[in-house]
Amino acid sequence: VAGRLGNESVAEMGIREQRISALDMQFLDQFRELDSSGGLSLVKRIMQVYLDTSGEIVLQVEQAVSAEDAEMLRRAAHSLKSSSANVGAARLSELFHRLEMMGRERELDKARPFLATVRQAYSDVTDEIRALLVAEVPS
Amino acid sequence: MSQPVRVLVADDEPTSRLLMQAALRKAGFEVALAVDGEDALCQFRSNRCDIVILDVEMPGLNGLEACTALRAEAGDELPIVLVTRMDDIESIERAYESGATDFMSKPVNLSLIGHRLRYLFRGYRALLDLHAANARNAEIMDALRHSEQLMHQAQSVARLGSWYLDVNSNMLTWSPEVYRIFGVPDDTPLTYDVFLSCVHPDDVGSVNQAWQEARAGKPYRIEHRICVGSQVRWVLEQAELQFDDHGRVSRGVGTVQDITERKEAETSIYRLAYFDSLTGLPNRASFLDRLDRDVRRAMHHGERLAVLFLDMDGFKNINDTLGHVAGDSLLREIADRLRLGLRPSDVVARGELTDAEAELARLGGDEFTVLIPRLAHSEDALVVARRIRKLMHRPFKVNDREVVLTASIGIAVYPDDGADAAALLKHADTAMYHAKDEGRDNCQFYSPALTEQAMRRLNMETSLRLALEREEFFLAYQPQLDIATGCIHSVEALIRWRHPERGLISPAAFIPFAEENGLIVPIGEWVLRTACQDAARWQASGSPLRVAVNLSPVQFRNPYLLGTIRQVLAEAGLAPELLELEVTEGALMEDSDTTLATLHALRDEGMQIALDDFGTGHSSLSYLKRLPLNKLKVDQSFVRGLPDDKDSLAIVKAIVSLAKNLGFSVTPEGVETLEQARVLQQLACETLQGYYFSKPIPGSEIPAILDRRWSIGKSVMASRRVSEMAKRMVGS
Repeated sequence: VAGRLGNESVAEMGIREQRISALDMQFLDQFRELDSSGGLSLVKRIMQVYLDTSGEIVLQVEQAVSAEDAEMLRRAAHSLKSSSANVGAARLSELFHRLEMMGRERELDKARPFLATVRQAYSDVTDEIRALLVAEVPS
Repeated sequence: MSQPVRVLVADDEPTSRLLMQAALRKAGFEVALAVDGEDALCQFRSNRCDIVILDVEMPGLNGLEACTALRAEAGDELPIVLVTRMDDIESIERAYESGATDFMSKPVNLSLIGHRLRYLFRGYRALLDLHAANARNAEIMDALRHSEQLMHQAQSVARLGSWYLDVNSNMLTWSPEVYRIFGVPDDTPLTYDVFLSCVHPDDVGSVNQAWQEARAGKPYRIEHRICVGSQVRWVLEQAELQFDDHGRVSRGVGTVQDITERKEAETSIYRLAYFDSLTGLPNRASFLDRLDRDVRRAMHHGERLAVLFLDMDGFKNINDTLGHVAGDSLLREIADRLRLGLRPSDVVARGELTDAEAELARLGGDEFTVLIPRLAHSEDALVVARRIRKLMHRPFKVNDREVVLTASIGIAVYPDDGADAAALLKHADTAMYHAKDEGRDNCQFYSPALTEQAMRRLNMETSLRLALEREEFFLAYQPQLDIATGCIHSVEALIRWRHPERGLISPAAFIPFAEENGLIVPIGEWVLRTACQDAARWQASGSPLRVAVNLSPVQFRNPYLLGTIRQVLAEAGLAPELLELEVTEGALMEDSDTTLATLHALRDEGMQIALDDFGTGHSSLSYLKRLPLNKLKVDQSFVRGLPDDKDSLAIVKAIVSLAKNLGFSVTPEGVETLEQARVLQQLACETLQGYYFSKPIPGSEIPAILDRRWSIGKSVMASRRVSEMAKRMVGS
């Protein structure tokens, strides 16, 4: 399996792994073109970076909401909106975009009940990414 | 791209940075990453980069603020791209306000970003090139202005100006120095004529010529004078011309240099080198130069020249007793006298005109030299020497005292006494010492033979002049017999000279000399006048007798001949028909057109023309035919052999036959025997001349002979005692 991985598209991987649905595999496929090896190492690096950095910012979102810091919420949500989009997590990105708008509009009361949905979605995405990265590590 | 274009990407969001980096590398860019605005500024300062991409939304220094800071640091050209939210119009406007070159909205289209940046970078580079070129141009213009300024300064120091001429547009440009040199106001519109109007009138011709020659491809370099106000200055002009494909001048670049000072220095150096400062006369060096030139010219033309070496007798004594100041002033006066006394018009020494221009010089001390080019006769030098001695005879006044000086003069003649300047000068010096030895106030040629010859000839000249004044000449007439009538109808006038000491001198001894020095003209005129007066007297006494007068070639060439003859005839009251002019073949051969004109003029006046000594010259028959002659005189050398010498007879026959055919009469000369007379009568000669009838006799005896009658018929004449018998027989 590992031997074939380099030439497989992310979409193919998705078809094979039916349970992954939080990530837009076709979106990620476009990054192949940007990869000097023509493979998926860029996608994996981005995903790894996402795993490494996004957790802390999600924490910032939680703190901002509890501290009712609208500006902090806007910034953290803005960042996560971008990075989530970059890993093909289109739905999650959309959720952070809403949070960002709430921060901008200082509607923190709307944000608080919305957090549970975001938490769940984020958890799904990171699970899927972890699963994907583990699965893809050459054995 | 020889050097990769380096893009600095600032984004606080790591996944976006990674994607941008990947996309840009893929497109061939080199990528540097910054995590926020501060970081971007830091990296920009430490590393060159060509394009900056800033995310607007960053913590700390945001994209807009970073952009403003970068723009202030990097200048106007650096492309800065701000990345904004798709819907954030306000950010886009603020991006431009903060100095962004362009913007992109998120999400960035990663497949197009490469093209977008390359496009930006091309504009950037073009802008950079343009600015660099502008900067270079500005530098070049600065350098040009600077070097032009330097050039003008240098030209001003060197008094050197330059000009430029565009022939097609006829545009002439002068540098400021040219205006200054020519003294022309700065704003004067320039043409070639403006330039010409500055040129000295005497140099316009040579300047024009040089310019025309330059147009034909010769190098243009000329020194000429210009008039600046009332001043005359010298300039050196040089130019290079450019030609088009047809060989026509298209433009020219030239320089003008004021060389007045150099010229003045040259002149004064020349004066110092070539002129004696005391007298202003040419010095030794100058004289030797001139002599050398003239010797070479004399050699080329086969001419002679003379060098006179003068030394003032007793000058040293005067210098010693009166002092150098007096001596110097005396030398100046001597120089002045020589200068005045040897003016070209005064050097025309004798009858024969010479265009000789005596060149005077001071060799040093009291030594002077005179060069006489184109010397016709050695004695001409003697005449000049005598003039100089005479010039010195008048006393000089020095310190209110009268001083009498004499000159000793030595003469050397080229080519007789030396073949070059040095030898001639040396020999003239030697001759001068001879003159001193001969008792000072004297003059000697280097070669004793020349001295003797020149003295003799000069004495002869003096004697001949005196002979005219003292009426030592007289005429003898030799009768010519008219065969048809047996009477004397004509006589030939022959000059005789009775010298008071030397007795009777043959014409053969003095006529050639008189011809050489030109005295033949006054002497010939005397002969003509005397003969005409005698003939007029005979005519008045009832015996019209034609008189034949010999004309020398020198007389015949004299343009006043015709006028003189008319005047003489008028004064004597003699009919022109009674005057016969005898000319030699030599006189007639010289210049056919002038000769013919003179002969025709004489004939038109009514005079007779006889060709003397016929047969001895080289007359061509065709030429003879064109001459308006009346008579041929057969030379006595042919008559002498008659009647026995066959060759003489053949020649005389031929001459007579020729004369008849051309319509000329014939007079043989030197008839000494009856036999000769008879032969010539048979050959149908009209007149005879010779001792057989009469030797030349004084004019006073002519009337007596006119009554005589001669017959040379075989039966009648037997005796050589012609005249007496004939007279008796005919007269009875």
